[in-house]
Amino acid sequence: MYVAYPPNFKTEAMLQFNDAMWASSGGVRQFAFSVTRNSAYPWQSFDANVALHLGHINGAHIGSCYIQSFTNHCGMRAISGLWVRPNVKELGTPFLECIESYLWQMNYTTLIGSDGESSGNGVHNFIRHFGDGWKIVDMGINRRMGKPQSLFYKNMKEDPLSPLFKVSNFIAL
Amino acid sequence: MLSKLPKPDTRATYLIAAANGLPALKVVYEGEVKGSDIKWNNSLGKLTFYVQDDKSNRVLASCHIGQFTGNCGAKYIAHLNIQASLPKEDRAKVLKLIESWAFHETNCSFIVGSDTTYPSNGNTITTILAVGEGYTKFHDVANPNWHHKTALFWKDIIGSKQQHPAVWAGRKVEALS
Repeated sequence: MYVAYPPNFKTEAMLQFNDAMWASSGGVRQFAFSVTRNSAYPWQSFDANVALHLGHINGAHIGSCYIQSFTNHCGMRAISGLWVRPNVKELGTPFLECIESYLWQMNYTTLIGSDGESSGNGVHNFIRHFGDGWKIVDMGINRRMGKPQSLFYKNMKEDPLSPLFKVSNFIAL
Repeated sequence: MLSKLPKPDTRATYLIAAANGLPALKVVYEGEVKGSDIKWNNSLGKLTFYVQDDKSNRVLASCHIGQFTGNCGAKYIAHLNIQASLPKEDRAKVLKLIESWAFHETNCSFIVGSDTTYPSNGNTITTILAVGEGYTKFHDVANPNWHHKTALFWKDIIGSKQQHPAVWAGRKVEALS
């Protein structure tokens, strides 16, 4: 499954949902991203960080996450730094679905991450509350923090997404 | 927004005295780490890691070790190659040496990785399955990119009874940062 790429993916871009997507996105209007390094077509084996930022219709920055290559393996990417503002928790699930759908359409099959109880709410707790189809594994104790650490991953192939946010439907700003 | 590339800024060489049935070894790593503080907490980046015979400089093993979420406890391992000509028990020792380096020189508690499993196993997971101890491998999942399958694996370095943290006794002889 190869899809068209967002414009200027090598640098920074801001995409805006079209009206149909906007209607179902729970107030999420803009979806911006930046890539810090060139990547191989189609983002396989690329070694870079991608920052995804969520913007509301009123322009407020209301959430972020980071996607990083993980072992440079095509299909696998790591997710971290995932959050939404506490006052827009209802956007947690749509934002995560948006991220998953976006990455799925970029050919990624599996998202993986790891963090512990010591890092505030943590991405694993975000996923526990807002995610669907994720597996969360108790890894043991983080030796530095002395607290439990989790590994979480989602095989999107096993839990096919409804492509709520079709990349081809984004409008480049 | 992320804006700048991390620069190759990390290189170190360690010497390891002959022990555990292995000859004197040299461990060299080089690469780029961004945002590192004490023992690489909250850092991103990767290192290319070489285990060499100290006398001949023959590379016995190589791999990439890096951060994938910036979390202090977990590192990934990839592109793992250990000389197939080495006896199996020595290959296992070399892998433990790498794990033990991560344990002692970073705050690593967990090693995580992924590799191709179909139509054939990649080098990393082949090595992990052959000589790794204490690893958990998840079931294969189809990857649409090349019509192959991949699998995740991980290891709790501390919790594994097979781990011997004392394997690592490297003496740093060169460090650039």
